[in-house]
Amino acid sequence: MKLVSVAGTLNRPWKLVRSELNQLLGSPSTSDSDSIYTWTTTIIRLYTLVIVIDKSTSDVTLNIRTSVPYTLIGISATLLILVARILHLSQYFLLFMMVLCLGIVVFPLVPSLLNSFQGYFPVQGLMDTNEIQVTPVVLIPLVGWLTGLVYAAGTGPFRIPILVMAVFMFAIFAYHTVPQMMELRRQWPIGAVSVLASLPLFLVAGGLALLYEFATRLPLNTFLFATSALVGGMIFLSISYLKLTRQFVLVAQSQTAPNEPIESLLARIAWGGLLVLQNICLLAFTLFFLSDRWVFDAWPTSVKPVRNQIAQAGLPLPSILAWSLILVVSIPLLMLFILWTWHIYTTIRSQIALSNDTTHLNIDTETPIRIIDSSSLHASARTSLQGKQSILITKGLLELLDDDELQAVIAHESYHLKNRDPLRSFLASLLGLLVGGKSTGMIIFDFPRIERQADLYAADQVGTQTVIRTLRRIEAQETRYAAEKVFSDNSPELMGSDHYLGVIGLAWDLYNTLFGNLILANAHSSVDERVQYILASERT
Amino acid sequence: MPREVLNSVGYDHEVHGPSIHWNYERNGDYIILSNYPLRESNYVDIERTKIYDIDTIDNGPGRIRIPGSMDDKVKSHFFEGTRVNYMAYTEMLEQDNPAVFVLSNPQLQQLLPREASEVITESDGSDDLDQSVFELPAFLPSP
Repeated sequence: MKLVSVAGTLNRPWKLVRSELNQLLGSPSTSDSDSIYTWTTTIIRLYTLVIVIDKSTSDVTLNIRTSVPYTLIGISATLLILVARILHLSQYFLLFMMVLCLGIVVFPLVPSLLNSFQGYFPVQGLMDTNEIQVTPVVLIPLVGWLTGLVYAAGTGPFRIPILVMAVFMFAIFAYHTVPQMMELRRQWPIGAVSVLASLPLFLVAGGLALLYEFATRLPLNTFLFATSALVGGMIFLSISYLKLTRQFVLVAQSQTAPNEPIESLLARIAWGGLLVLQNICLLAFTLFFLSDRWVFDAWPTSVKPVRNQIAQAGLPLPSILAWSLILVVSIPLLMLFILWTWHIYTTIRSQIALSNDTTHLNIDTETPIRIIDSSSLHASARTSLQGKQSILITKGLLELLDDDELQAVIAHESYHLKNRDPLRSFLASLLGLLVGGKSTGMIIFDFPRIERQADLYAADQVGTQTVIRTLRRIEAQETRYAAEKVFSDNSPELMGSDHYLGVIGLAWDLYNTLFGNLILANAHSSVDERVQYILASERT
Repeated sequence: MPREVLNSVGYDHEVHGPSIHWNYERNGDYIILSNYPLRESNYVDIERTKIYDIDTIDNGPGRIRIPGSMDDKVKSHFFEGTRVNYMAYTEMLEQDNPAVFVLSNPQLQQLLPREASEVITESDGSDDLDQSVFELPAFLPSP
């Protein structure tokens, strides 16, 4: 049975690909037509990896298969959970079946997670991945696990966060298993970012609910022990969350999926709306725990029992200790708030810096051009806090391009101004706290689509060949910079955000993921894709 | 075209004289020069063109021009001032129909090991100006 399928196209010369795979996996089998090559390898008899390449079309397919009766086991485990729910069987039995269901859900993902297959990751480096599909059968044990979770833990104050999480997880898995929706895009990090952005709220909501449960239901000795464990667990989970974000950044920077925009407005609204709704629910739930109404006009209900328990234990300053506990449990949310505040502060500060530290370029254009004293190759559209529009161009780019190419860049940026894109970006920044990060709010705007339109506008204004030449010239120059840096300087700061060590480095990655330029940087297609799209539009 | 490449793939055709055949590989749009058309299914053959100035410069380079019929996207890698790189695996030169890749700098770098091809932006994120510019809708960078 096929568990996972990854499809894409080769991006390296065929001879190189064949040579590398032969070294890794041995000789392939070939079809009668001599254009389809198949490599096969197995691991611990549970999984089989099959790589099929059609050299005439460059199509690549990676399939992970298993001989385990996966569907049967999944259906059986799910049915047993439902039976346990109806017959009120032992909690231990329910727990065992939940663990089994979770194992069945994770089973197809194990080879990817553990890099188990020799050849699996090298092949991914040789191809542009277009589609990933996990078997739809995975939804069956997922339903079992979520049902068990809601049944076992979704009572009392846990009901809302557990239900929200269950719906959200099911939606994500369904999205990744329904074949027609599985075309990957370079902006897929947006979806993952959104999930990451929701985790702090999940942690805080769950932590507060646990604290309330401990204070109202547990005896004094057990309460102190459980609360200490909760505090330790929350710190551990916060650090784990930061490390997970770092892994995400590394993967997002290395992935090569194509950059097709999400053309359907309905799909964008549905996806963005689900995330916004989820975060609003969780935020409302958190606030509900801190007050007995929806506003802070009364003594928080979750603090009162905690304070009483601490007072009974004979500890000093029970009110302060109770609030301190809630603050520790709320660390992830506080972290989000601090990053959001920093983001707004730096956005405003940089707006002021852009007004003061740039000079005008004296050329005849509709919009003022300002020069940034930087050797990097960049241009952008800007709307100041006072609503004045301008185009920013770095000195490095100005020196690289000829007059026609400069006009192509200006035309591209002019489109952003006409489309009010800087305002959209600023709006996403302001709403970033509510929806768990600026990046989440940018889904609905679909910047990859906007960037394509900006390229077409520029091609219409200055000519297709001029825009293409501009893109290629900048690409070549950036390649030169990159090569020079790699070969001439091995200082660690050139290797990405890893140069920020420790907690500051982890926090920087989180900031960059939720409020930084990760989404905008991924909004641009590769130069090859942009050229192809511009040429295709010209032909039509 | 350097003399070494000319000696490898240049061909004194009975009709066209000193000439080369242009092809490209679908995977990544790599141009390949060869003696004769490459017939394998992963290649698209274009046409034969003349090598210019080959007789006027003793042991020096010849001149070639990308055919107009070459696919526009493949052609877009090369424009005035582009540095051209020639690359071949040993087996490509030893086969009956010798062939050589013609690569732009970005294409060449893509084929280098990952450590050497990692794209690095100028900004380290610490500077207000650079940081704010990178957070705006922009022309570049591409990932």
